[in-house]
Amino acid sequence: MSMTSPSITLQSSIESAPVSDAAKEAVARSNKKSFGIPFWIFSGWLGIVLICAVGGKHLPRGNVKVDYLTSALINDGKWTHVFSWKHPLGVDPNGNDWLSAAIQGARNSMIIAFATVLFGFVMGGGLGMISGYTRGRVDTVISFIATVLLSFPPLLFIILLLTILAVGTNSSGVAQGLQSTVWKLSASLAILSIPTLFRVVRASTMQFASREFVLAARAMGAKPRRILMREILPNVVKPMAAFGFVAAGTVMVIEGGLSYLGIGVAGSSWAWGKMIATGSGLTILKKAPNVALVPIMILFITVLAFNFIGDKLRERLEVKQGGI
Amino acid sequence: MSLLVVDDLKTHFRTDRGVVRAVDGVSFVLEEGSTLGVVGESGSGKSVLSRSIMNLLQKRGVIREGSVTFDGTVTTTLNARDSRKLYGTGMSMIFQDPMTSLNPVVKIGRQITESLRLHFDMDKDFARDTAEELLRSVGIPEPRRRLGEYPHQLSGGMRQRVVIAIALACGPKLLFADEPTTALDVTVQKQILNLLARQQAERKMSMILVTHDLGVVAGRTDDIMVMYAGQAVEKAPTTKLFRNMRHPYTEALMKSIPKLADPSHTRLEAIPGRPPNMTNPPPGCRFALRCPYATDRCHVEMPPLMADPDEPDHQFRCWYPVGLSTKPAVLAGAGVR
Repeated sequence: MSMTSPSITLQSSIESAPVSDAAKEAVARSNKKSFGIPFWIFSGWLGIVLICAVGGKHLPRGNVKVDYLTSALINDGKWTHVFSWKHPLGVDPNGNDWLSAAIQGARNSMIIAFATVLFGFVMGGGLGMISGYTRGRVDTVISFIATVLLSFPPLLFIILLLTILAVGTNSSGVAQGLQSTVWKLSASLAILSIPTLFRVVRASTMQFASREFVLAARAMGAKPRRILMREILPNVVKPMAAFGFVAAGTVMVIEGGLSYLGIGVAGSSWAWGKMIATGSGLTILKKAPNVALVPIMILFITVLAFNFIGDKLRERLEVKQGGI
Repeated sequence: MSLLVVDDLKTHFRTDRGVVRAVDGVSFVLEEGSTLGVVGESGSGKSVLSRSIMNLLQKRGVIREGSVTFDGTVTTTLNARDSRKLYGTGMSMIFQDPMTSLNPVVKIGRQITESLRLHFDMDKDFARDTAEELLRSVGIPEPRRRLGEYPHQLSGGMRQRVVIAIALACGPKLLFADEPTTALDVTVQKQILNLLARQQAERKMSMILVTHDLGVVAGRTDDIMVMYAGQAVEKAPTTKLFRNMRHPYTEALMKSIPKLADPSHTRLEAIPGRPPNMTNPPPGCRFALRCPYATDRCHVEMPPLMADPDEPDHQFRCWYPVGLSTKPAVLAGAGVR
């Protein structure tokens, strides 16, 4: 026994230095490691979607009109024109070129995804950071409100919000159905997401606020606002960005659900959820499944891309956190 | 004039299990340019003491009594804004673990320039040059390149040098070093302690070195205060303390350090038992339960701070001081607490 113990300590002291070097190298390697081909394919897809969102009608295939002959066929209930060169993704029963609709829909769907997440993070995240850092009474009050909001059934809550924000009135001022614009829809979805994002950011803030570097910053005379903005925010923002991508995907799916219920984007502008709703009738599904399937596939790939990229970013950021 | 006067400072925490008396009536005086070593095992209240002096503790659930006078101003009653003005230029602190006291996602350069720009209103380039100079002065090679790096790209010792550079940036009059070498390799420990000593001499600043290691404070401090269970149990100039340890706890601490001169396989003398529960400390001497010399009196009556009449600056809190034949005198104003 007395012989082995010194040799063990000797060995471990010899090993400890190279091991930590190796660990550092591993961290450096994983930081340099590429994201992989799927990541870039998905990024490329999101790039195309973004181009569609920005270009919309002005893109080459962005505003194709249906000619007289095709409309006649549609009116006769024949769908022979599906996947023609002129209308590669077909047309809907109302005579809209489906590729053009998908391109135009990209704008609204992306606006809803990004505006919701951005607004939700600014509000929920801001409150979460204040709450998580100051604690005490402020935290108790804000957390209580968040809990109350979370306990509402989300679907009823969003209908309530839309009713407040987007109820349309006719000329004599009588309420007349919901007239959601994309911005009103985003605002409602953002409000819906605030309590959830608040909780995530608050938990993350509390974790960092108890770290010693915050105490060190205080010991150098930093004001609370400075600590929040310059010490805690840079730590919180990276995992939040990764979470934001996943949230964006979820929001796009919710838009689809709301359109199906007839409370999606109103008026003539397209959104992908609205396209799915158009193709969801029983007759159309039978005769022209592409009307529903095209937007479903586009939405599916986009949401998958958001989730995949979000996951990859999280992985990457977590490796870095571990390295420290 | 003394730079720091701490008078009967108490810091208690309200918890679910009762009031924890983390610091329980500590007094000391620190002269300008001198170093005080605060020694004690974990949980003795030494870290809370330094945080309490700096007003760094949260207000909620903390009871603070007694007074702290820094550079002529009473700081115990200052509000958050006024105590912020004191930080950096007046007092600053080095923390135990450089892995956690640096922000992992902020570049080193900005972490140093931050306080320079805050306190001295420096412009970006000037602050950067100053930061580079600071890094060079704490012995970091290639300081310009290091400014653009993140903490995880540096080794532990380098990181602690950066932490020291940050603490020294605004030229504090008093530096708290809260176990500055505990998280480091033994080989790096000495370098960091030497660096601190050199910087202190150059800047003529005072330092409070908090540690659990008597060896760390041995050659580097003017005075030593040994803490046990929230109280100062022995206070003396360093040389006097190491010559005669009056309190049995100090003696036990000393015995628990391995000595090179001992034959191999000598058992270390650990101190039996654990520090008392600080929500409900025993009425007598706090060390009585673990003390080899304790008598009935020790368990019921709390010893006041006393001193040998021949050596009034060597104070201890013990009824039966080790190796003292003359009767010790109770210090005026110390009272029985």
